[in-house]
Amino acid sequence: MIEKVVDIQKLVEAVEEEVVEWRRHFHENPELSFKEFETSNYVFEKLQAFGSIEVSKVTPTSVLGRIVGSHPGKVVALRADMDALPIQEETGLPFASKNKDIMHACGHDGHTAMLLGAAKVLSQLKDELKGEIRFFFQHAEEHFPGGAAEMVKAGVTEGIDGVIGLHLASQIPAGKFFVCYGPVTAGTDAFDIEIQGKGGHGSAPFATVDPIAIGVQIVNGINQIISRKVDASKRAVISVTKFHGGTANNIIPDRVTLGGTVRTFDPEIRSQIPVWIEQITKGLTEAHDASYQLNYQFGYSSVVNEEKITALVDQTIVETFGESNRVIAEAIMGGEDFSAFSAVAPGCFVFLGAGSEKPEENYPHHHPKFDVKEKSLILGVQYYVQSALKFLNEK
Amino acid sequence: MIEKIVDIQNLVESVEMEVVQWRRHFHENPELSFEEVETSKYVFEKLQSFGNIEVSWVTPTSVMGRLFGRQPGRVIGLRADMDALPIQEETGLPFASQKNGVMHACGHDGHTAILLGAAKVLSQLKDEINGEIRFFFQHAEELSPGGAQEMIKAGAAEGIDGVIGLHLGSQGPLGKFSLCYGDVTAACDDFDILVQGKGGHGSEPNGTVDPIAIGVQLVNGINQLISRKVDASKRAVISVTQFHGGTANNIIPDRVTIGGTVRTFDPEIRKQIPVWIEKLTKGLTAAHDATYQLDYNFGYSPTINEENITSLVEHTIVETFGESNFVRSQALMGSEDFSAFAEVAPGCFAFLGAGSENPAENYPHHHPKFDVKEEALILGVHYFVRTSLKFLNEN
Repeated sequence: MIEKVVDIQKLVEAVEEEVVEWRRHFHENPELSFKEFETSNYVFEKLQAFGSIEVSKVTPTSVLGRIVGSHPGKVVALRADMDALPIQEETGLPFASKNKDIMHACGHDGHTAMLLGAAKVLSQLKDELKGEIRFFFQHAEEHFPGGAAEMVKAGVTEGIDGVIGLHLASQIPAGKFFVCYGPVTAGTDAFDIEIQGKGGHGSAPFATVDPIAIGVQIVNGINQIISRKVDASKRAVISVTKFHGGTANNIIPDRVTLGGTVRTFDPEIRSQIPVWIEQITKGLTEAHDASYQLNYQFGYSSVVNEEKITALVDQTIVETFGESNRVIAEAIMGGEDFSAFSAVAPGCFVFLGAGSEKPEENYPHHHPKFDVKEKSLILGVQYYVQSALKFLNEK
Repeated sequence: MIEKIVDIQNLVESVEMEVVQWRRHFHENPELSFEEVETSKYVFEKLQSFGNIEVSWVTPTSVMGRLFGRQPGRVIGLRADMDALPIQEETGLPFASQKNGVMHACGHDGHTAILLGAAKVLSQLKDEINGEIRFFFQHAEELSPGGAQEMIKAGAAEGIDGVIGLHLGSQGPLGKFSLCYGDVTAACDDFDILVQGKGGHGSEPNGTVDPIAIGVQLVNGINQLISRKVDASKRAVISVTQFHGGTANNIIPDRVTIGGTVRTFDPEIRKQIPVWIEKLTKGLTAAHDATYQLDYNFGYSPTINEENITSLVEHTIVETFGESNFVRSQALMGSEDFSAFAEVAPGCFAFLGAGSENPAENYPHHHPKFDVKEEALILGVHYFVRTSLKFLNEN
């Protein structure tokens, strides 16, 4: 057993240079959500080159790899997302994006490279594997309705017993793993409201239905939903982030548009918030002879880490990286479509720090200067390999 | 005396065709505020051709004509504005604007032609005139700070004892004169407010200073100033007509901009409103750790008709056009820079209906299909000729 552990350690170390090289390749050639053609081809070819992996295209830009072990057992899935963002890179890195206005500014280049590294390592352990490891190279995490739901619909999760994911985090020091039990990311929904008034001259408001006067009351109302309607023990956020109306100081506009985002964990509250928003909008527009249109878009569901698989992953992290590198963390209000996978099987999604110790050196995700420390990449490979093996070897 | 009246009647009638022709010329060749180069040249040359009138440039695009009577006496100013609007004409008239995006959509083409007609008539009556008639062909009524104050600064109004103006109204029935005692048009001021918050992710409002949440409270506050602060017997209007902030549903913006218009008659209230607006803005931004910038722009002062000259004008209208064509009316919340003339001498500003009896056929001022009935033009010539003679011949 000690021998094997040493073997795995060596196998992992052996892929480090390649993983860094792959990450730089993806970073230099980013592709937007649903357009990951070259990225998915690259992944497809690499997986095939490793041998021992059954490789298939799930959708036009997503890839599934399967290593079926020599012994029967459970099925564990490992997931990485591959898409980039519509951002013009400003890092000045030698391998900065060659594609104008497209950038890997959320670490998905690293995710893809790490999972490729894990696949290469695990492909060499086929004979010792009990059960099956599935690799989900997912497209379009950044763009609703998301790639995960498409992959699930295409059947990739059939028969899986657990699913494990990872996100690099630029604002956590490199090497620290953040593990949440229960909720990890929030349900992310969005709304757009159009208030149709009746425009006219600014000097004669009595002859108009002023949509700005109504809109500001609606925003005030929406901004009180959390404090007045939601149980204080439940986390939820509503932000009205857009308010647009008017073209000239002397003309009352015909309509205004409002928009915002809603983040929740509790499914009851998630389904109640659009009802409250509509009630406020309907009541206030009726009160002032205006009309409205509300478009409410349910986005990604909350990622919730299942207790047992999370305890297993947590233990693996502590054993592999030491207690000092494991932090039990609180959920974040951001969204993630890993939830589509963890909705069909017990899932665990953790964060791996890839930032400097000095917070001022780290740029947030989606920033034009976002970057990750490459020394974290090999830790991610180790995480995938050790968690998968532990999951399959457990009774 | 009867003979003279007949003479004047004949003289006025003899200019009708020319006045219509001039109006069509101006309509076809509109020029924007402060750019009335060709229009003012045309006026200058016509005035010179009439004889008996001293013609001079007041500013690069405004013209003054002076007609001295044989006997000494008082000085009366007659004023017409000459500028057009940045509107694409859609009337389909044979003499529609030849300039893309520029249109006489407020009747100033008619005003200029009418006053030219009056000058031609009056130039032939030099011997009957006691005192002086001054013709103010004013530029830039449509664009604050306006042409009127420039002409006054240049000395055009020095020594005048009264000033008379006229506005064609597309929504009043043809031939009806309406006149206000006291307030005619409102003071027109406007404001722009920038609320500077601190942007961030929509899922974490706690790390931001949300400028939309602050902006809506500010608009609610501003919308209560009239009902809570202004004496109900005073007319005043504040309209917030612009609210802009935000680019994406998941991003709380850094700032919002808010704009609006303020209409008042009472000078005290006019001065107080920006103080109240700033107090609200300062208090609400301070309460929420935001900052602000308020730009308050004082525009045209209210036009106020002085009692004696207005009564003289009323008599003239009733004598000339009959009681049935005279209406006493209420002040408008719109604005006019005739106020700058009426501030230096007793003034009277009347409205002359130039629309159809059927309201459905009339388009409002500043509309791309705005038009005036040309039958009104000769009535306007009469108005200027009769009121100025009456003013000068009164004891």
